[in-house]
Amino acid sequence: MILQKGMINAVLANLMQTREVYVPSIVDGVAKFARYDGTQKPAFDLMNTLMPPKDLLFPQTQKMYSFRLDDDGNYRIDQYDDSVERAVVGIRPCDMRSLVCLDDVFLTKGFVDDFYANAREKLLTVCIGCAAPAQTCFCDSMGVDPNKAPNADVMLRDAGDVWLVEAYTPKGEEVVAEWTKSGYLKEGNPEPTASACTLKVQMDGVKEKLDGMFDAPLWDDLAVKCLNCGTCTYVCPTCHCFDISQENRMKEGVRFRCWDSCMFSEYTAMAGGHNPRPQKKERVRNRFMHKLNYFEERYGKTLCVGCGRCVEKCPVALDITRLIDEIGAYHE
Amino acid sequence: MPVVESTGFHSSRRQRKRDEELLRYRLDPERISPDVVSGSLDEATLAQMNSHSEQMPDDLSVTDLPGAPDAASTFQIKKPDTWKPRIVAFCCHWCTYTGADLAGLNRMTYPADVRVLRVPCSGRINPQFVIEALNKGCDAVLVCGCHPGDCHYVSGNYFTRRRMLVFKRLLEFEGLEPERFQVRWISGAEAGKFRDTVTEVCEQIRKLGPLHKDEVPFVPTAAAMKGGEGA
Amino acid sequence: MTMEEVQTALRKRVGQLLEDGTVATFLGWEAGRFPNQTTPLVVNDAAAAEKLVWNEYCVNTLAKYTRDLAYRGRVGIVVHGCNSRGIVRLINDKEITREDVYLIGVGCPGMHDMNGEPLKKCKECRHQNPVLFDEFIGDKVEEKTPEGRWAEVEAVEAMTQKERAAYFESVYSKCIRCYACRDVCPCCTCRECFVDARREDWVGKQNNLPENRFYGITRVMHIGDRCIECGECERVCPMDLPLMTMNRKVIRDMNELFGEFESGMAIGEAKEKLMTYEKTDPEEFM
Repeated sequence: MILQKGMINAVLANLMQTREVYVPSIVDGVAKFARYDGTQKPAFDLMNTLMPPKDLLFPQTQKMYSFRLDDDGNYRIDQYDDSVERAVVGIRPCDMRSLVCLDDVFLTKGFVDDFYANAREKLLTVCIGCAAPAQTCFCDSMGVDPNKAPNADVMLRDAGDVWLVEAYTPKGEEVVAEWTKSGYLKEGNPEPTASACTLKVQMDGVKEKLDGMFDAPLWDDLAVKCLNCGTCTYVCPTCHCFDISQENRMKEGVRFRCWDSCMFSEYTAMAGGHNPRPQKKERVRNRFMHKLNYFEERYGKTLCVGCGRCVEKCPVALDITRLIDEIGAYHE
Repeated sequence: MPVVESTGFHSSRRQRKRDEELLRYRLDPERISPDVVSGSLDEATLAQMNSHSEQMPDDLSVTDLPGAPDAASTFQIKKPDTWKPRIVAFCCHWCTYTGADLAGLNRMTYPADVRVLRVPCSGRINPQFVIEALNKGCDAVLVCGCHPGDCHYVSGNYFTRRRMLVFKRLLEFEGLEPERFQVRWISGAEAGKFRDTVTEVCEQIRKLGPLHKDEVPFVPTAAAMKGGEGA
Repeated sequence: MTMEEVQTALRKRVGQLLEDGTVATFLGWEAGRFPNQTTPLVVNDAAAAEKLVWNEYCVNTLAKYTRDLAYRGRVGIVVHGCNSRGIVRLINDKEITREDVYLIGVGCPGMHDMNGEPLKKCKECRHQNPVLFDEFIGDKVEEKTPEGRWAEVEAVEAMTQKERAAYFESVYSKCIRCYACRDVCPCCTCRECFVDARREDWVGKQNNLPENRFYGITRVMHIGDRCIECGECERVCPMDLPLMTMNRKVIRDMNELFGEFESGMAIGEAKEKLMTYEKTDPEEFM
C-alpha cells in the first residue's frame, strides 16, 4: 500500500480521533516530539529531533505515588497512572531501536516498571524511514537499518512522493486497515529509496576489547575535555537513568522520579560523603562502558543507536564515533 | 508561638481531638503570622490585627470555620474570596526586628499576612532565600535592614544595598512585579515605619492578587490519580 | 601572518616548550571528525604537538581546563581574547596562579560554526587580542567595537511586565538543566555548586519552571559581577537559551549603578562590584 505524502494530514486527523498524536515539530525553536493539535506543521523532513522521544514513555519528571496521613492516623498511598492512548508519527528507525533498549530495561529480566509498561502498551509507533541521513547519523554501523524498523507498528518507507506503508504488528495492521477503508491508502508497491549513513564506525570487537580496558590510560585523555554537563545524557534516546525522590509538605507529599545523568558528580554520591566515581574520568568511562560494554553484556545489544544527537550537541565535540575508532585502534 | 499545653484535664478522646484541631487552627499559617510582635497577644488583638481580612470569627469553635482544619490542604490554592497574601519579611536582628518588636509593644496593628524571619544582618540575606520564598508559595518578599551607616557589623548593609539593587532589577527584568520584592531600611526605633511598610506592602499585594495562579507543581490532581489502597 | 602560518609556528613552539620542560602539558585545539570542526586537545608530548590546529573553527574557550590540569605542572595554553580573560579571571579568583600557566598569545579573527556562520559570541566580542600573554605568535588583529552590546537587554526591557514574564517563562520551561552553561563557565568555579548541594536542597531534581528559574537567576547572580562575556554559556546551551541577555542585564545595571567595570582584564584589577561597596552608592530603599 502507498500513502501520498500530501495525505499525511488526513491520516493524522484520523489518528487524533482515537488517541493523542505526537509528531516531530519545532516548538519555540526546539525540535521535539510535540502533541499534534491539527494546525501545526509537522517537521517530517527533519532528520532527528533534538529531544528524543523517550519522554513519551519516560518523562523527565514523572509522578509515581502520592501519600498522605489522615487525621485518624491512617496513611494512604495512591499510584499515578496518567498513561493514555498515544500515537507517535514520524519517529525514526534509530529511535525505534532505542525503544527496544528501553523495553529491555523496563520490561525484562523479571522487572516490570508499571509506569513504563502502561505507556508503552498504549503507544502506537508510526515510523518514517530516512531518505537522507544527516552528517552525524551512524545508525547503520550500530546495526540499525535507516530504512526500516522491525519493531514499529507501522512503517512508512520513503519512495519519492509517496510512502510505502507496511504494518509489522497486529496493532499496526488494524490501523492500516482503517486507513485503507477510509481511502487514504492506495494500491501500489514502489521500490523504496535506499539510503545509507555517510558516517561509519567499526563496531566489531569493540565490546570484547573494552572488557580489558577498564584501567586503560585512554580514559584519562578522553575525560579531560569533558565538561561533565548532562547534555549528552539528556538528548540521548537510550539513556534511562533516573532518580527517585519526594516532595512533602506537612502530612502529604508526592514521590516522583526524574532523569538523572551519570555525568553529574551527585549521581553516585553516597550518604556520608563517599563518591565512588569522584572524577570526570570515572564518569566518562562509565558512560561509554555502559553504552558499549555493560549493556551488551546484560542485554546483548549496544546501548547506542547511532542517532548522532550527542555527536551534534556535545559542547566540546567529545564524539562517541571517534571514541569507538580510538578503542578499535588501541593497543596495550 | 503560643502553644496549647496538654494539661491532662481533657482526657476524653473527643476532647483531645478538639484541642488538636483548635491548636491546628491557631497555628494555621494561612491565618496568622508568627507571633513575633509580642508573645502575649490575646485572641482579641489577633482579631483586631486581622481586621483587614474578612470573617475573623470571634468564637474559635473549629467546627464553624470555613474550610478550616482537616480538609484544608496546603496544596490547594485558596479560592479568591478567601485568599490572603503570604508575605515573608526578612528582618535584621539589630534594627528591623527590634522595630517590629517595638511595634508589638506599642500595640500597633498591622495586617497579619506578613511573616517575619529574623536574620543576624541584612547582609545575611542571600538572593536565593528570596527566590526560594517566592517559589514555595509566598506572594511577596520584604527585605529589611538597618539604615546604611547603622549596621551593627559596620558594613553589612552596604553590601546588601548593592546586591539587592542588582537583584531587584534582575527579578523585574525577568517579569516579576516590582511590588513583590521590596527592600526597606527600618531602624529599631521606627516601629511606625515598620507598621506602615507592612501595611503598604500588604495592600499592594492584595491588589495584585496571588503570585501562584496555579497549583504548586507537584500537587496531585484527582484526575491523574488511580485509586490505590493505603495500609 | 595567516592563520596557517600561525598554526605552523605554534606547533613548532609548543614542541619546543614541551621538550625543554617549560610546560608539562599544553592546551589547544585539534581537528574534529567533521570538516570545520575542532575539539579541545591536551598535548602531553612534543610529537603530539603536530595535532594542534589554529583556524577559524576553534570555538571552545579553554581557560577553565587549566584548573583541572594544573596538578600536572605548568600548563601551556593558546590564548586569544576570551581565553586570556578567562585565565585572568581564574587567577583573580585564586583558582590558579600566574605561575601555573604559560600563555602563547594569538590574535583572534572571530570564529565560525560548522556551517561557516560567524559565531554569535564572536560577533559580540570586544577583545580579540589577548590581554595577558608570555609570548605572541603572529600579528595582533584590529580590535573592533561592535555596536549593540545592550541591544538584547534593551529589547527585553522594552517589553511590558506581562510580556517579560511570558518571555522568561518560555525560556525557563525549555531549560533541561543539563548545567552545560555552568560547567563551561570560567567564572563558575565553586567546588560544590549550590544545585549539587543535596543537603541544602536548594533545587530538587524535578524539571519544572520554578526550579529552572531558581537555577537561572541564581546562576546570573553568582557570576554577574565577574562575567567576562565570553558567551560560552550561550554557545553550549543545547536549547539556545538567551543566557547572555541575562548576564548582560546584570553587567549593565552594575555599570550604571556602580561605575564601569570590565571583568578579567588585568590581574589584581579592582574588586568585583558586588564584593565591595561605596558609602555613596545609589539609594533606592529609603
